[in-house]
Amino acid sequence: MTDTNQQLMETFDNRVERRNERREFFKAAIGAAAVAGAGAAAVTLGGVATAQTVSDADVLNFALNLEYLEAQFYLYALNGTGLAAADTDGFLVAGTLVAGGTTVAGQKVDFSGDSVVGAYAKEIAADELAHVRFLRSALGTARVPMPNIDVSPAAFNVAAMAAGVSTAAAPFNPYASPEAFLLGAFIFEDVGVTAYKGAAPLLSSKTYLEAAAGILAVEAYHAAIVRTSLYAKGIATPSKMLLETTEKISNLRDTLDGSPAENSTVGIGADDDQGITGSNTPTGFASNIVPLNANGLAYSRSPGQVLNIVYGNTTAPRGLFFPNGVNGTFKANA
Amino acid sequence: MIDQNNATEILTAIDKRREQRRGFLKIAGTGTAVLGGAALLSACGSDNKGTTPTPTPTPTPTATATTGNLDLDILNFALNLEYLEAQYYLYAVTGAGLAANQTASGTGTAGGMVTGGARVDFSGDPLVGAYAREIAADEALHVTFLRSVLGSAAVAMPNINISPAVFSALAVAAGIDQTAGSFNPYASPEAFLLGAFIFEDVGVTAYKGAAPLITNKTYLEAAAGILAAEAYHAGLVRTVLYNKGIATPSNNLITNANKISDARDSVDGTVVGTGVSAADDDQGITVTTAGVTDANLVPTDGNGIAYSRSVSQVLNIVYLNTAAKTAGASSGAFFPNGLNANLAAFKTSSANA
Repeated sequence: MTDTNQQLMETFDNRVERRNERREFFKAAIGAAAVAGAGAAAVTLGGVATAQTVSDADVLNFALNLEYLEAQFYLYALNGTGLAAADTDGFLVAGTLVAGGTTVAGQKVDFSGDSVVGAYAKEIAADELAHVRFLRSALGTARVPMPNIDVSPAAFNVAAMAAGVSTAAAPFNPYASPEAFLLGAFIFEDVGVTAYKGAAPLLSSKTYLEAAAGILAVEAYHAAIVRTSLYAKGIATPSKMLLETTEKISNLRDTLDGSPAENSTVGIGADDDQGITGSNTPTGFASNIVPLNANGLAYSRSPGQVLNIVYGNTTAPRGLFFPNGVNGTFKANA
Repeated sequence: MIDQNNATEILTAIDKRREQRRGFLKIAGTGTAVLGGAALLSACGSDNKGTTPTPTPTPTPTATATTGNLDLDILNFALNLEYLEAQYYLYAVTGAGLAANQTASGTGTAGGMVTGGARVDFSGDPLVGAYAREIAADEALHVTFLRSVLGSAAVAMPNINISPAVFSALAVAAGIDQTAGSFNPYASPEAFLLGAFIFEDVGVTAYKGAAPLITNKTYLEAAAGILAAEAYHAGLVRTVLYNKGIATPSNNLITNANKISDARDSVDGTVVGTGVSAADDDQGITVTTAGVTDANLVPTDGNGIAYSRSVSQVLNIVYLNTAAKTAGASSGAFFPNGLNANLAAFKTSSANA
């Protein structure tokens, strides 16, 4: 927790001097590749031009790391088990197949008391597994193995405590109930949307761009399912504090991901995250299921911004859900 | 665990920024009810800190097979669809539509007429009312944003027909109703959701199909942001329909949504071998496999990827071109005079046979 405290303070201190993080991220990404010296940095997909500073394989592998994480969470919640070994192996050095990393396990959620949320979990788990398999297939021998992943209740509670929604004495466990599961899902889904949107303009292959746009849409559908369900439950039973909890989680993400320069035309902003609490309007109360900027656009996050969130800090390229960091070229914090 | 002073300051600053969007939402609500779009536009101007790119054509990428830069045509195509969505939601929420200065072309040509549209009584279902007001504000923002990006190149709103008769024709085509005139999307919150369901997934597939055709990276990222917004809307609408359908099977919401999906699938035709579109590119909110029915709130292919639709396929849906297998169309249903477009390809559909 001391680390989190330190990170939050540094984040605050840095706010006044934030610049265009997307440009910074390019420098950082190049630096990371040089330091890491991993073969993945030089990998290209067959037939894809690589005139940019990053290859499409780099971008897709970044997405694959996130899909590994999401798939593990949903699969554990649904089945009590995670991805099979055949879905996690990959290449850190060209030509050398290695096994996927280890996973600090999640738990099976008892959905018997809320079969509707159980149905959502089943559908989303299948989608995330399909994303893992699709990206691995598209990348072929350029795919990175799954890094070590932590989807344990303890990991989620670290995030929840940082957000101020739980304590060590009364920890948050996303597998404890269907509602807790929805909050766990809430932590990921909007981040997935912003990650794919931020990555879209980095892709040079039109084929991959269209596929990525398709996954972007699916993550947005997922996020809407989760946000709509939490909203309806929160309104129905205010004592559950579900709306308030989403605001706190959203604020934590917003704090961790830094303050890129505002560009409302493409959807980049310092405040790029929103909870689900609605607001009064002259024509009546309006919900906030969809997190958009003033132009009605969903936000983008750079890979570094996304990593800050899933690492749970702004400086170390590892932590929280990825104890050893992610695999591939994009590893660095924003 | 967190330094409370710093944390509070951070959160206060964040909340202030979020209020900017919320404040806008508030103004948007006022504007549509009382002043029309004038307030919307001014509100947008004051909040819009970003730079609007000059809509100047850039060189055509060699990697695509397109004949030229179609960015402005694609954005105008999207604008036509946003006009339609905005009018539907604004009428449902306020009983009035976009203001005249939100529908005129960028060069001042007056916008078309809106036929039909009515305020929905959400008093019995405040939750759906809250959703409707949120989506209405979003769609109005999309109109304003695209017009702002397009500047003088923006097309005027074409004539739009959102009367119950048009929705009913679609309902008849879908097999929901046997007799014309019996489906009215403004009659109840549930009917409103089915009306919204007709549009939202189409918006997602339209933006996704257009994404790889966009040359300018700024437009691409903006379009991806609207794509995401439409997918959130669609996910919202599908989730609510599913919940209500499970809670009250007798209202047939799941069955009807599934029939609408089938109708879209039939009307949009089959495009084979383009890599863009699939024959079965639409899905209802449940799927039954080997006798087991599961929720299907996210319409995806086997790779977990949302579908794309070509311009022609989208046109066939909004024109309700039931002759899609044999002939194209250049007007019909929601667009009685067709879309406003500079190129025929963005107004006239193919048979998609």
